[in-house]
Amino acid sequence: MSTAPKPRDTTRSNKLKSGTNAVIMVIATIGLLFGINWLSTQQYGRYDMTEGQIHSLSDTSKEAIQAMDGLEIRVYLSKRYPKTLAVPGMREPLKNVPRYIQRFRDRLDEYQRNSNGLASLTIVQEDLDDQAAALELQPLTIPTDQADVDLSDDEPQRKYYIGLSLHYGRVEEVIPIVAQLEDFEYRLTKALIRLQDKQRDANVLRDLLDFGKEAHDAVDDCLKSIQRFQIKEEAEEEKEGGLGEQIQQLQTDRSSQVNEYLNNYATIDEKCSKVGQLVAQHRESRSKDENNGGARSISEEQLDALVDQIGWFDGMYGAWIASLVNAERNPNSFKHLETLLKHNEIAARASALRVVGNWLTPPAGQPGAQPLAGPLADRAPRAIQQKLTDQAPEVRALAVKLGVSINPAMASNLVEKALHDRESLVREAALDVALRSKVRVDPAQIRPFLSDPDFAVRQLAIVYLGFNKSATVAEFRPLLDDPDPRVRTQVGIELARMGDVESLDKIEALLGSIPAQDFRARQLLQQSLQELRAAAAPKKEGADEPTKSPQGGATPAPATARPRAPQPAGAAPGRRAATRSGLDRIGDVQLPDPLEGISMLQSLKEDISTKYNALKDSPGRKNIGILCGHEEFCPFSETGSILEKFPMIANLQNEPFAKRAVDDVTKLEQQLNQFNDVIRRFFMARGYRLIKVESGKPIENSVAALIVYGPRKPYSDLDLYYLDQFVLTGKPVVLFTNNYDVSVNQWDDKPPYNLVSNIKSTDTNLDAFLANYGVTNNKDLVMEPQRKNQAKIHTISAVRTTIGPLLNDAPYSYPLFPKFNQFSETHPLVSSLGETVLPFVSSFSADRAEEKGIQFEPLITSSDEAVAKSEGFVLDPRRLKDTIVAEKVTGPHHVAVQVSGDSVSSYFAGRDKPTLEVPETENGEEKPTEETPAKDDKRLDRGSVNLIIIGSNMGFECLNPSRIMGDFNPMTLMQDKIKGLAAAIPFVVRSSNIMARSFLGPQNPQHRQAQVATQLPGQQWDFRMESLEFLFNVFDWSTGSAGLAKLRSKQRKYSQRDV
Amino acid sequence: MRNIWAIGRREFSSYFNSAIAYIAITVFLVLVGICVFYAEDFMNNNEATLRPFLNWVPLLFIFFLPAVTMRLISEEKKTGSLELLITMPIRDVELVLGKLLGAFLFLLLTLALTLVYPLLIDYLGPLDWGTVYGGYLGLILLGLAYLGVGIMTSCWTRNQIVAFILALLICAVLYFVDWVVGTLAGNWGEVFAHFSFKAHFDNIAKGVLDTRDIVFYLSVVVLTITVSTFSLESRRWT
Repeated sequence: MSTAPKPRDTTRSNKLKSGTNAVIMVIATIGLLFGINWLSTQQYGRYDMTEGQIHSLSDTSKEAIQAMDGLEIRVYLSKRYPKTLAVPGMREPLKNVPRYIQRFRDRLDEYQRNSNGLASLTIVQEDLDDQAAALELQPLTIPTDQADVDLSDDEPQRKYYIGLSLHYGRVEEVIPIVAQLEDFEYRLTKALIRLQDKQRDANVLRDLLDFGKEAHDAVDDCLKSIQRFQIKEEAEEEKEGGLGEQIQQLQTDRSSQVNEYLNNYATIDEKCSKVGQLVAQHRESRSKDENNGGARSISEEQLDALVDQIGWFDGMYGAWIASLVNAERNPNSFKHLETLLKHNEIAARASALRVVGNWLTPPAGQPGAQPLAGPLADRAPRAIQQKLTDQAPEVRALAVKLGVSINPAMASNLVEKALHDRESLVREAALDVALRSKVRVDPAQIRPFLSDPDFAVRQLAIVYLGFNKSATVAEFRPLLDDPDPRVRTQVGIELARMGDVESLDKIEALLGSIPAQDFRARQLLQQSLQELRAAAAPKKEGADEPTKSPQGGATPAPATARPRAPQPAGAAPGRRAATRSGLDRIGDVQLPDPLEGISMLQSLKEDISTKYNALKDSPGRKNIGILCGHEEFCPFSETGSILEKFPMIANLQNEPFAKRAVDDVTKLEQQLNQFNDVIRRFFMARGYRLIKVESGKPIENSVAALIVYGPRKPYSDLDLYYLDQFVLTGKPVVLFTNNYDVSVNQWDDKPPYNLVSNIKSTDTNLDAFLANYGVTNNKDLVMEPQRKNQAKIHTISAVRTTIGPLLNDAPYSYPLFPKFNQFSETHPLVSSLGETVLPFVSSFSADRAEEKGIQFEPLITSSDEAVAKSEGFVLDPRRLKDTIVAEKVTGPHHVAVQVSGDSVSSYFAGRDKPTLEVPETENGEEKPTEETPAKDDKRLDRGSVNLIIIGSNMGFECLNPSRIMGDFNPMTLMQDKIKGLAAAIPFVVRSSNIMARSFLGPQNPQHRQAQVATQLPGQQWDFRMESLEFLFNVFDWSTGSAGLAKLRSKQRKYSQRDV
Repeated sequence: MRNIWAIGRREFSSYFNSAIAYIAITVFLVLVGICVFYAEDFMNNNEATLRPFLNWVPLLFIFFLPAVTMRLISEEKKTGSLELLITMPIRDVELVLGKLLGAFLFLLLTLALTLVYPLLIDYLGPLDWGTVYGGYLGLILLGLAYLGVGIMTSCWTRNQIVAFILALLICAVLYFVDWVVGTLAGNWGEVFAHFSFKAHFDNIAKGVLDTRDIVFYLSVVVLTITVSTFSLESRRWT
């Protein structure tokens, strides 16, 4: 009997089978999809749909990476990242870091893919902290407000890195942090281009770089060998005993440490003497190079700077050894001093000499200090004697001083010998020690020094002779006409003290010429003058003619009882000494503390490392020269003070207003210099090496490109000559013209509180020069009537209220801030620009360019509706918007042009080279000048030209103190103190300052400063980014990296449109 | 294929049988407008970009698209019409694909209506159309993935609300999954990051067409269709 099938079981079985199949199918599908996705991450393709391919590598980047066979990109990434990280220097943290890292790696993959296998990419994750420290990578950290949330207990890591280094041949570049991808391609490609330049030069400069490394490493070895003998402090324990015992213990520890160093001096010096040898070797080769002549490259200059610093380290090492010897006063250590006295570095010899002096004449109060006895008592003075003929004047000067103090019997002899030294520093030291130690020297030996070429020597000779009453008024009187004001002041004091009534007028005139800062000199002269006036009064009553002395001078007045210090008036010689090269550091070197000397050497080593890094980075570096001297934008600090021009302000020293003026001027000068440094560093931080080029001098070969940024003052023929010679070299020159000095950002302090604006035409003498190169400067201002082509100006106007005028910042669309979007499509400087604003811009046209063999290419052109005017300007934006509609349309205008040619005639062709114009003094006399034009061996009458001219200074104004305070006029203080202060000191202008409003005009420094400040990031002008972008493009183009201009433009689009 | 098209067309037209589609589209467009012009302060940003729009639409899709798909299968199940459909000569996968096609056409229509934004922006300033193409392609792929998830949850239940909530949760989790990536140890972070709808969408929306992103979205669609198909088939073995 057959059994019937069980349909229910079959159904269940089928269902089970179907279910199982379904589950298997789903799992298989998931597995398959996983596989496909994994494969897709390994082999993928990207297509950038954006205009300008902003998410793909540009041609410049591709070309850069494809030209670098063997490039290694090392990427430093932490193993794990939290979700959010704080970025140094940025307010906003980096969010969604893992995703960011993925995008970062995608960008790097893009580079590697495009390198055609020439570049390798290595991800470094091991020993990251050590490698990061070596490369100075910048760490990212967990934001403080999230530290507890993001960081688990088992995660001690607190520093995270996203950086990379590029290694190519012998050179490397480091990008210490990549915290945003918007500008990553620009930075990386710029680094690649830089690496190529560097490598090219590094091969040529191999010996030089190797020497720098050897010298740097020698310093490192020296310091390490010293540190080996540093006795480690034991763990801080509760010290027993009283205060006295503790102090004694400290002294014992100190002594042990000093002895440890001295006992191991041979080991230390074995390493450290190498430093000195290398310095000497370099100096010898440098002197040979100098004899051969020729311009020094940036790398050579950097190496010189490095070796000078190492030389200073070596000298201070010697000084430190001397201080060790000095601390222990162990006679056995005297041999170390004798070695140091033969050291190459002046600081070491001077320190050793000082220690010898200390041993011979221990300073009062030094515990346990005993004069030397035994054989050393003979050797030490001999050592000083020998140093009287040292090759360094600083050491000879010190030897004279020490010689006088240890051997008073021979003092006169020593001083007299030293007075005949060829170096004024030694003569000055001799006179100084003679005065201080009251050494008697025959006045006849001193008198010749009244005509010494060195002012400090003349001044000290006057003091010496005056103090010893060994001179007559006839000898002193001629010195009232001495070229140096300090000598004149000193002799004025002496003559007044001698009662020389005949010189009264001259001495009174002298008082007014003493610089404001020299209060002491003024005081001394005033005192002496009072005495002289008192002496003169009875004489004038009695007789008009002064009694003649046998020598033809006035009879010396009876010496009045007066306290006299045998010192010169003011701080002249001392101040001179401080500025004399090296004396403050060397001759007057203070012995370092034996133990703190190590940290001093350590700190010097850090400076050396900085200079070594600069040397390593120097090959291929290009200098961008900024021409200064005609009120151009010149971001370099100035030396000297405007106060020096106004000696009469010293007469107002008792006036609080005048004091305030001096304080304000000094403060503002400092501020402006600091601000200029900030601007320069801003550009330097972006890899542009700006150097100052003084006008009226030949422009150095090391200048790769020249920027002339908005001059206002006329160029002399000599200035133009050197500019012309540079132009003819074919190197890029970019000239930003500045035809009008315009100021709108002002307000009136009286009802109805209208805006006050100023415009002043400037004359720079450049028009004829430009005409030679086929360009006519139209000296107009181009305006765009259509609002869409206008940027906004932010005016500060005042609104009248019941509590007084309130300031109001109002933006207006401004035709004089025209926006341009018609650019040359082929020129790399502008072809990638989207839009740019050129405030107060002038136009240019071609001037028989073709005839002269010059190619004239417009770079930026206005719209067809543009208006150009040369006079009758309306500046107030509220009025201008109404008046401009009635103006005649004259566009289009070219506001930036390039002129180029291979054989262009010089502006000075057929003419002699101009000579240096000697400025005249107020009296009409020619002022002596030390500057003479350099010998002109290779004059160019023809050459290739690559000149770009832009009709605006883009808002970057000259911020040099001499320019800002050009209107400074302290004379007004004498007329009306309150009003005078406001008028004389425009720099006290502050928006809250009532006096501020009485100064209005284009010279307002706040306005000037604001104009530049607003161009820098973080400020408010609408077109600041465009201006900076354009300026960076100029720098890149001028240094031959035009491709970077395109990248920058792309970066800007990227940051705007990144999702 | 004919079956899929027939079902898709029927589904698409069924949206407009009542006022629901009109209301849904209107509400969606109004919300997009509010988000773009008020929340993002578009007019004051002074930048010709579709970025604010592309920031908000994926978020609104998390609510909008599950609402579109919630009824697709669950309603059929609830009303019993699914049995009727099964008697017809169509395969389950065709049914799912047809439903998906209908919802997808609805999505395309909705997106087409938003084209007014790029046109308006382009009128106001120079718009990079590459990012527009990328953005819309990203929205289409993202929307398709959301629809797949929506159909999948709709297959799991006969309750539309449950289907909506499940789809919304899955879409939201997959959209924001990269938020938790940083807290995961080892390579899990990278694995999870790959599942983020948002990360892939951001990539495409910035104007870069990357095969990794396309493969990912298509994988999600394939997976959801597979699961949906087997979910439908499961009635045969449960």
